[in-house]
Order: sequence, then C-alpha cells, then structure tokens
Amino acid sequence: MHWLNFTGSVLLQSVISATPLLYAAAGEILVQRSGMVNVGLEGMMLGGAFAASLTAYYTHSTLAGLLAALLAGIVLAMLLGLFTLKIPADQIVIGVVLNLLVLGITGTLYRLLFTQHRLITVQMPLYFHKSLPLLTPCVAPCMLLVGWVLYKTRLGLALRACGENPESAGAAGIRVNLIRFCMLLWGGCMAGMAGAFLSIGNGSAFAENMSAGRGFIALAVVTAGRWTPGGCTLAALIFGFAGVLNFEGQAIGLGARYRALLAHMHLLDAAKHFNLAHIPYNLFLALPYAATLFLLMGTSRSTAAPAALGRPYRRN
Amino acid sequence: MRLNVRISFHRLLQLSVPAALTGVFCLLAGCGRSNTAGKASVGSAGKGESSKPYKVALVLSGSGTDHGWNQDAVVAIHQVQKALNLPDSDVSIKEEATTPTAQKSNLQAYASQGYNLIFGHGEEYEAPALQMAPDYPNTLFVISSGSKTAANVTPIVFKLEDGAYLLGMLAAGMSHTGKIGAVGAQPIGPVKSVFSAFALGAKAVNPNITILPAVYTNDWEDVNLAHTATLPLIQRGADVIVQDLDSASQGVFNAVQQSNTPQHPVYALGTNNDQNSAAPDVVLASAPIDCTPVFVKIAQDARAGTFHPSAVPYGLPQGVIGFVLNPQLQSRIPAALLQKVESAEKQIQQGTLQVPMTAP
Repeated sequence: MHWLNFTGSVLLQSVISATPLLYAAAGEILVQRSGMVNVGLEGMMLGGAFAASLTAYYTHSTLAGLLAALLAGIVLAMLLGLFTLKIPADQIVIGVVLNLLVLGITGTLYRLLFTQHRLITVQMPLYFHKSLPLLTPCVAPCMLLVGWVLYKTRLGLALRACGENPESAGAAGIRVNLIRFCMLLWGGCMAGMAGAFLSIGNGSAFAENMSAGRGFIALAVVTAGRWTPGGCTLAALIFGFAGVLNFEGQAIGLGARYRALLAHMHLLDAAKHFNLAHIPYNLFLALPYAATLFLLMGTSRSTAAPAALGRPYRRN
Repeated sequence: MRLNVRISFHRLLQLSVPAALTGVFCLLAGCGRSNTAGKASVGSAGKGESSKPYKVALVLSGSGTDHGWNQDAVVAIHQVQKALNLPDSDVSIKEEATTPTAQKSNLQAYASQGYNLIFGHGEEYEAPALQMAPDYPNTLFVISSGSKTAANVTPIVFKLEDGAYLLGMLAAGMSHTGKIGAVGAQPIGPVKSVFSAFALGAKAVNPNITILPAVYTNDWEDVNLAHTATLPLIQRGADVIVQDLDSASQGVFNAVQQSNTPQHPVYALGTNNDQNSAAPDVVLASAPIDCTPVFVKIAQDARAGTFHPSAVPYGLPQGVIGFVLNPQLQSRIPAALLQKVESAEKQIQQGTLQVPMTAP
C-alpha cells in the first residue's frame, strides 16, 4: 500500500511538474509546424505568469487571472507576429529580444508595485482535493485539440504545408502568413496558460524570472517529441518524471544509502580513492536533462523537422 | 574598398527592430533601478569630507525583491547611503549574477571603477574577491557569509545558526510524526551549517527526532521547483519543513499549505527574513537576518579609516540574527515548548549557550 501510494504520488507529481511544459509545447507544436520558431516562449510564459498573478491579486478572481494570462500571451504573440511576419526580421533575434523585454517589464512593474510585500494572490489556488492543480487535467484537451487540428482538418493540412514548403502553399492559394500569425496567437495563449500555471495554478505568488528557463525546455521538448503531440507529451512527461525522481532520490537519502552499500561491500576506501564515495547532488539535478537528451538520441532518425522552419515567407 | 550603401528600407527596418526593442528594455530596466534607489535618496551631500566622493556598491546573485537574503541587503545598502549621506550616483547595485563568471565580473567592474566599498552578498564572492583584492588596495571588499580575511577583504559572518537552532527546537517540539525536513538551493557551507544547527536544536528537544536528508534544488528562485522538491519530504512523513532559499521559499510554503489539514498539520519555518506573513497559516516562526547594523557599522568605520578586517560572527547577541514567532500560530505552540525555546534564546543571547558553526 505504501508503494502504491509512493508510485501514485511520483506519477502525479511528474504530470504536475510537466504541466507548464505541456501547455507551452501544445502551442509551440503548431507554431513550428507552420514554419515559425518562437524563441520568445520563455518571455510569453513569464508575461502570462505576471499578468495572471497581478490580475488575480487586484480582482480576487482566479478566472480573471487566467484570462489576463491568455490576453498577455496574445499581445506578446501579436508583437512577435508583427516583427517576424510583417517586417520580417529574424525570428530567433526577435524571440530573444522578446524574452529580455518581458523580463525587464515584469521586473520593473513588480518592483514598482511590490517592494514592501509579496505578490501573493490566493491562499489556495485551484486544486482538486488539495493535490491536483485544476489546470493540469485541462492540458489534455488542449493537446488533443492540437492533434485533431494538425491531422484531421483542412487547417492542419494547410499549416503543415506552410511549414514544409510555404512557396508551394502560397501558390496553392493558402495565405501563409495569416495561418502563421494565427498559430502564433494560439502559441501565445498556450504560453500564457503555462505561465498562469506557474504563478496561480500551482502556487500563489509571483517571483521575478519565475519561468526559470521552462520556455527553453519546452522548445527542447517540441524537438525531442519530433513535432507530434504524442511525442511531445511523452517527452514532457519524461522530463517531469526525471525531475521528480531527482527530489525523491535526495529525500530518501540515496547518497547515504550508496555509501552504506559501499561500506557493506568493503569498497568504501577504494571508492574514496577514486573520488566516487558520494553521489554529488548535481548528478540528480542533471537527470531530467540527461533523460531528454537520451530521448532525443533515440528518436532523432524517425522524423525530420518542418523543412521551412524559421524561414520567412514573402509573397511574390 | 567600396561599401554597398544601397540598404533597402525593408532591411533597415529589419535591423532597427531588435535595436529599438533592446533600447526600450534598457530604458525600462533603467527606470526600475533608479526608482528603487530613489526611495532612499537623501539629497546632496553636505559634509566637509564629501568633497572627496565615497562610492559604495552591492553585488547580488539573486533578485533584490526576493523578500529574503537579497532584499535585506538592498534595504541595508540604502541605510548605508543615508548614514554616510551619499548621493544616489555614488551608490550602485548589481543583481542576478547567477554564474561565477558574472559574479566575478560584477565585482571586478566596481573595483576597477574605483568604488571604495563593495559588498559581495554571498559566500560565492569570497574567492574572486581574495583573488582581485591585491590589485585594488583602496577598495574594501566585504563578503557576506564569508570566512577569510585579507588586508582589504573582510567577511561578515552571519551566525544564522543561532536562529536555526531555535527553529530546530520548535520544529522537533511541534512535529507529530517525529520527522522533520529541510529544503535548500545549494549544499554550500553556510547552508549546510544552518541545517546542522537546525538538527542540533531539534535533537535538544527530542533526541529521537528523525531529520530527513535535505533536498537541494540548485535554484534559489524557482518557486515551482522548490514546491516539487518539498512534497517528497512531506510524503515521507516530515511535518515541519525548514528552508534556506531566496524567492523560491514561497514554493516550500505553497507545498506545505497544500498538505496542511486540521487532522494532520504541516508547518514551515522562515529564514533570512521575517517570512511569517508569506504564508501566515503555516509558517510557525522565522529567523531573520538584519544586515543593516553590520553594513552601516562597517561602512562608517571604513570611511573613517578605522576599520580592520575580522571574522567575528554576528548572531543573536548582536541583534543581527532574530527569532520571530508568527503571532497567528503562537497559540498552537505548547507553553512548555515555548518556555524551552525562550530560555534557549536567552542563553544564546547571554553567551552561555554557544551554537557551533561547522566550518565550511
């Protein structure tokens, strides 16, 4: 019974820590399949987190916070779309600039408004039975929607065409940049949701730079998942699982147990000689990244990236 | 050599966009900085000695708004500015140096600009400061949580252990399961020392208490990561959790709030700052650090030329480390336990109880 409990909690925690990655990936899959790279994912997440937290703080409504996060994501996506589709400037550069811009804006506003006290919104965010954040199961329909749109609709066919060969798609009468823009807006919505999960979905406070690199991990998840909803879900879950295992490993004192085992086998002195007597905690921390890399290795041959990924399209 | 000057309007736009956006960002970031500095502005210097400018800097590895370790230093540096009557332009703060390279270069930047007094707020600044100090003999490097002295390098040894010991006593007394736990960012000397003082205090109240292995997240600020890291400890039976984190402490509080029920209460403890209000329903007590008296004293002595580097610890007796109970939860603490904790606090203050600091 204890083991069942343990396993249940580990799996549950894995899904919870994968949730922001799943949301962000659900957006980024369609963005990348339509031929764009949204490096500004990290910034969009952070913007969503701040908008959600700030709105929920002033309105005392979590729902309003969620809507604000979606809106923030959309606004940032429009900005990105304006510069990468209308102008079109380099997508990577604009994405990086967007990340810095949002980090600066959220940091500045946070400092202006909350120097004395914390930005804490609700005592207990949206939870099922105080253990499952409400936003976690909501990611499943989003992912299913992405799969359905991508493979079962005309829009999916058109957006994949935009990602593979925008010139041909354009010649066939598809409005490439319009489709790309719509996908960016969807990506912004999902990144906003991912941010809202961080600040009001699973916690109750905003901290500067609280997205902490998850946007970049989400980009890696999309690549590791080979641009398919199923693959990305798997990649995100493995990442989450490895992250939880790392803390479980530390909490059960794996390091001490390893030493005890060495001592039991009379190998402690030999291990000390080779500097192997203790497991550095960094090794645990590397687990999620190592797992993702490993996954990437295993799947890299199966599918290729959208052929026109990151390439701007201009109508002749 | 002929330059191609036929840059199209389109190309020009392409180039200008990142530049413009970066400009906006810098402007915004600049606004934020000058605004926080402006809060403590004291106007122009009026003293005679101020004819020769005295420049003070603070370098932080985290965010100055973390409601913890870093923010406390920001408050202190503003008090230094007030005490020395320095203009805004002679006081500078650099934050968020998360890598050793950035930490060293921030320190170096201030030293090479001729700052007289540089506070490196964290043990991580000790090694680079000791290394560069001989090149900048007119600069005094003050290293928070450091341990070594040199001609112009001094540590501020914050004896957070005093407070952690009392928190440990409280934790052991309040635990129903007989298990308590700790979450930290990195197993560096000062953090490990605080956790072992916590364990020592716990053992003083209940010799049979189980202290679960500490969990480290490698991130002082990632709230959600700290949240995930705390749950396995609670899952394994810990019902009082201490933490040594910056902004990420809120994640620990959230995890504890989530697990806290009337039948099975779970508590958290605050460190570095009075964090009782961050989660008033679960934070039993905090052990805050008050940098201000030390920072101001060092700055005043250094300016007067009477300062000598030393590694004297500043703890509870000096009023630098505190121990604050959360008034909202105080009624839940049994009177006998409270009496034990209070008498230990008195003993530490009088010096009859010496909490050991494990050497980093």
